[in-house]
Amino acid sequence: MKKILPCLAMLFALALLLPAPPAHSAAQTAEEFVGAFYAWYAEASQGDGDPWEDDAMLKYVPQGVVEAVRNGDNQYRLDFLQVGMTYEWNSPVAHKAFPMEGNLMAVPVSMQMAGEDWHVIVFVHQDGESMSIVKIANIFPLVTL
Amino acid sequence: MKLFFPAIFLACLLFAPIAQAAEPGPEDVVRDFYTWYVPLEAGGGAPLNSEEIYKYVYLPTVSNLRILYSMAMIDWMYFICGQEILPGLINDLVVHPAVPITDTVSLVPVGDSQTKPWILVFVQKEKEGWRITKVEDTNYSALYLR
Repeated sequence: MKKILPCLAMLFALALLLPAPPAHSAAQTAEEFVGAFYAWYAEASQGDGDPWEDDAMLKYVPQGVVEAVRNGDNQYRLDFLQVGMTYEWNSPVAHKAFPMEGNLMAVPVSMQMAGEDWHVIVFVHQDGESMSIVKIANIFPLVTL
Repeated sequence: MKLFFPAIFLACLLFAPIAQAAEPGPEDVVRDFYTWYVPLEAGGGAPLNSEEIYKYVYLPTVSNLRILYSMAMIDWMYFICGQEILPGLINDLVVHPAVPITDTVSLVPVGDSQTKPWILVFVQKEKEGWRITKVEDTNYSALYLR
């Protein structure tokens, strides 16, 4: 018993000296941010919901873009999301991001749309810990319009 | 017969790398393209009107670019994503490893040694090999900054 207490004390002291594990709330990665956006968007689109009218959209997309869509530019919303008229997608998966100039991360995203594989590249602007989706590109060849 | 299978195995070992090397990958095509394009464009040549561009760029992309330029819908160097080719760029372009998106589409980030990549080159596997189908830059509308 005499030896147990000092041992426990030593273990306790050791535990205090060990570096703390990283907090779970460590900064979100760009792919996590994009994954969260698509998960939220899918949920907010249920029923008659319009995610663009929901202020939570501002967590993911800059205010100027949201205002443009709210002001009636429906084409703009489709161009921004790079999806077809139905924009009903399933199982979006955000893949490993890679860095680009201008504090941007490019995040490849794959999903199913109308039974077909669909791929987009989501450009995320990072400013400290804050992130914003500033551009989404499809993978189709250049078109004139 | 005893030697047949070892001989086949040896032949596979010897010729497989040669067969692989014969097919340029996405980065190779992008590197070869910029090696050809940058000096030509910087020297006042007209790479877009050259037949050689088809070795690197998807035919409909070339046609569409010619239309866009003829209609003055583009006034920058499309493949550089800028107005001018800075001196030194010819020797300083960095082609980063390709990011496969599908079996037939890959992305190749391109920049220089001083910066992160500012050009994202899309390449697609065609019958003739990998071809550039478009580029995306890091610009976005002022709407996004508000």
